[in-house]
Amino acid sequence: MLRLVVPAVLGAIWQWASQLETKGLFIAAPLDVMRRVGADYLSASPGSFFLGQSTFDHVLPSLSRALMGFALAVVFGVMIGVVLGLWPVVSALFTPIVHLGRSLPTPALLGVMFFLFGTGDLPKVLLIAFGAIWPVLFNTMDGTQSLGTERGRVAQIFRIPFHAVLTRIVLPGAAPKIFVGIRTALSLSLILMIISELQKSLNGLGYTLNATQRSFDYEGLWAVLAVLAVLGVALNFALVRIERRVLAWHLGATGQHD
Amino acid sequence: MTDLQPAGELVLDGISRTYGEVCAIGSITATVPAAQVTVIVGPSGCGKSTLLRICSGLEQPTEGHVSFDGAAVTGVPDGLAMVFQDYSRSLFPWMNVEANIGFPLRSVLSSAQRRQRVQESVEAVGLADKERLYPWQMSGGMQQRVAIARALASHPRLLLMDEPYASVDAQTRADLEDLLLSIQDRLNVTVLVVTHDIDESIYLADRVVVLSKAPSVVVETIPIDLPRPRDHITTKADPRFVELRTRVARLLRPSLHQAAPSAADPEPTLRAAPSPRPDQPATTGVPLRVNRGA
Repeated sequence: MLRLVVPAVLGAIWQWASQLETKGLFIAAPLDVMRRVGADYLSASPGSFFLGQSTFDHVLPSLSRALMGFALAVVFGVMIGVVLGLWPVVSALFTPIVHLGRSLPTPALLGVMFFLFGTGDLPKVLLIAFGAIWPVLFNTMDGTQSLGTERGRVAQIFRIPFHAVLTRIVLPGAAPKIFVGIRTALSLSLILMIISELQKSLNGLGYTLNATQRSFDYEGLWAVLAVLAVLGVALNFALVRIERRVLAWHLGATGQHD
Repeated sequence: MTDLQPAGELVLDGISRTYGEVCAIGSITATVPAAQVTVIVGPSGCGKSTLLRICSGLEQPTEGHVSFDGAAVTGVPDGLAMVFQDYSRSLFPWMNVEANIGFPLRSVLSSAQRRQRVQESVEAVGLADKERLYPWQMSGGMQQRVAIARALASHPRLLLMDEPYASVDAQTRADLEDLLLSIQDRLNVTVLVVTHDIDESIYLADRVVVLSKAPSVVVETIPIDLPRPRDHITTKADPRFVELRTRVARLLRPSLHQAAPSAADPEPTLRAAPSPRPDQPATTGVPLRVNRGA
């Protein structure tokens, strides 16, 4: 019950603001927005999984770009992070470059991506991957380094082959930290998804944000925001479920069961 | 257990280890006889763990060499297993008991053979039916049992133990000491334990190697002629046990020894001890380094 209080208050403020004489012109009423979300993004047809035309035209393309970029960031972030974490020499060689890459504000690279990879999905996916890789990479590196020498000794004494050290000691051992990075990477992926679609785009939620603003379609604009909120919550929820499964041992070992 | 190979003998020949300017191990020459329990006892910080890492081939000595069954130890030799001090770091919390014990055997045995070995090992340490538990669901003593089972599962000929019972409570410690003795009786494995606990060293050992402070040297090697099987009540009440404990304690605290030289002679009644085991010489002369301390 208590957790509904704040959303209810915020909803009331939203409703009140939408009735204002001047600002109310730009702030669509909550109920109108919901109605618009229903009309554009949902449908009554089971054949299309109850999804509306805008979902197919904009949400799914956006989502697929975000998830592809996110997946690339996770795969390469973990790979590079493990290599940097395991071999101090490699990390000494490449850490300056890695910090340089991380320090670049990713949206600034949008133009570069367009020059290099055209205006299709590829530059957008790569921009998302580039921006989201850093938290995964750094957390993986940190998690790998924090495994400690004792586990390495155990592996040596019991003559564990290298591939098994990697997949059964290093990755599981670093997994709690890796997941911290993955969560950050997921929210970054959604942010960069929008940014990458603001220019040179023919569909997607970022494109729709722009298009609705340009045509003074404020209800449409707010509907996009509502969809984005739902998307963010749903993806995060899915990730938390996966994390609980994969890190069940960690939650148990650190007494975080609930 | 089946297909046991004969236990092996470990020989340390003039081992020293220096880290930069710091000399951790002065010079250690000792023999760990096959199928016996040898315990290295020494004060904290005398390089016992370093010595054990050198024995296991994890680390190379600055001088001297180690051989196992006549072959020089340059890497981890075949047939060696180890129980580490800190079970919380040596066991993998993401694997349950069965996976932890079976993990080192993955590349060596089929899964059916592996399951049988795991079964055998958990029974040997008294953890049958606990295979599905995770280490963090168990007490410290049970976790160290898992670590022992993991070491036994590979059917080692040489078992190294680094302060294996330093992180468990006294009662558990006594149980685990008895467990080690019974396992060693049955498996005929060569065991080398390092500890700083004098009672433990005498209770477990067929011979005790007493080390000095760093840079450590062998102060004395003492054959332990207490009868086996041992138990915590009668063995520790045995006058011979008390005598040996006093002797080791004096060796570890030479300053006390010098302050009260008359106390070096035990009471005559304490000498009424069971006769030494015939297979052991009364004393073993291991070369002592004369210039101790820097």
